[in-house]
Amino acid sequence: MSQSVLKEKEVTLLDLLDRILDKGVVLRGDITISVVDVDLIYVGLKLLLTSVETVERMRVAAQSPVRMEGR
Amino acid sequence: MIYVYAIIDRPTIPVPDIPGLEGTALDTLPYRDIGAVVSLSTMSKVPPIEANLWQHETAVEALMTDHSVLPVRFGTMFPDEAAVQAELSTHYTEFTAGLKRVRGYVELGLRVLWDNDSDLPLTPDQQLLPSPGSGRAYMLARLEEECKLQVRRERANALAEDIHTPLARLAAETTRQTLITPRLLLTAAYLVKREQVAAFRQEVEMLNSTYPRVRLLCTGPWPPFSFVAVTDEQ
Repeated sequence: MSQSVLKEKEVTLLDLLDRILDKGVVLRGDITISVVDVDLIYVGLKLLLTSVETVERMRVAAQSPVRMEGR
Repeated sequence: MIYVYAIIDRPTIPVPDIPGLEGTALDTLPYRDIGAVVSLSTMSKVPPIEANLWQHETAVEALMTDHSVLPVRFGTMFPDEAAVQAELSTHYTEFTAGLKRVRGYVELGLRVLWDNDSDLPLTPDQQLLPSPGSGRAYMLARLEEECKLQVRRERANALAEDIHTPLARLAAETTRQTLITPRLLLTAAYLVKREQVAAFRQEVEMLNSTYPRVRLLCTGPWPPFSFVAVTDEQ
């Protein structure tokens, strides 16, 4: 791996984010995370694996929290 | 406001004595034979900072000791108990089916990274292309490059398949995506029986030595975030 020697901790954190913010049961209550929040989390962590595609996926998730998950 | 962590079975078993968000105690709001694990929140919005994310995760993980658990997405809040009860009542059938589906199982995460992605680029290398002096030469070179890329992508997918298959044998259900980024060959989640976690990790180690050009990183056990499918679409 050229410039990206990933620490296990970073991967674990990335996996946590992918799950806790993008998966799990979606209820009718208010999802209190905004698009901006999600972008900031990903940008702020400077994770090398974070692709534009992931951020896009998150953006879609944040815009339409009511949808089928986990299939 | 009421913050929700998870839907659980066996709501009469006391929830673990660990702090939830803002240090408040966890509590169960029961409905028939299921329940929602909640804590009271003074905030109208929970900031998604690392500490809060882990707090949510820790609470859900702790619940897994005594319960089957459907983890709820971070940041879900309700104005009052009645609203949570209504949600449990509306989706009782789905929640019950979901809890049955994941009972005794945990989720393991896998990311497979190329050790040497320069050897197998998956996007066009502009430097290999001739200067576009002649349109025909350019198109031919471009076509050749595309063919090479296609071959490489196929090799990548085949390798992802070779890695995924033996792991999928140890799992009841799986999810996977290949090449989310050129460096990330495979991103997958596996729903694995708790007793099979050690065997799964062993298989990952074995695959790591079998394929020296990639690196497998296994995380978990996680609550089954990727294997719940309950929505409010109706």
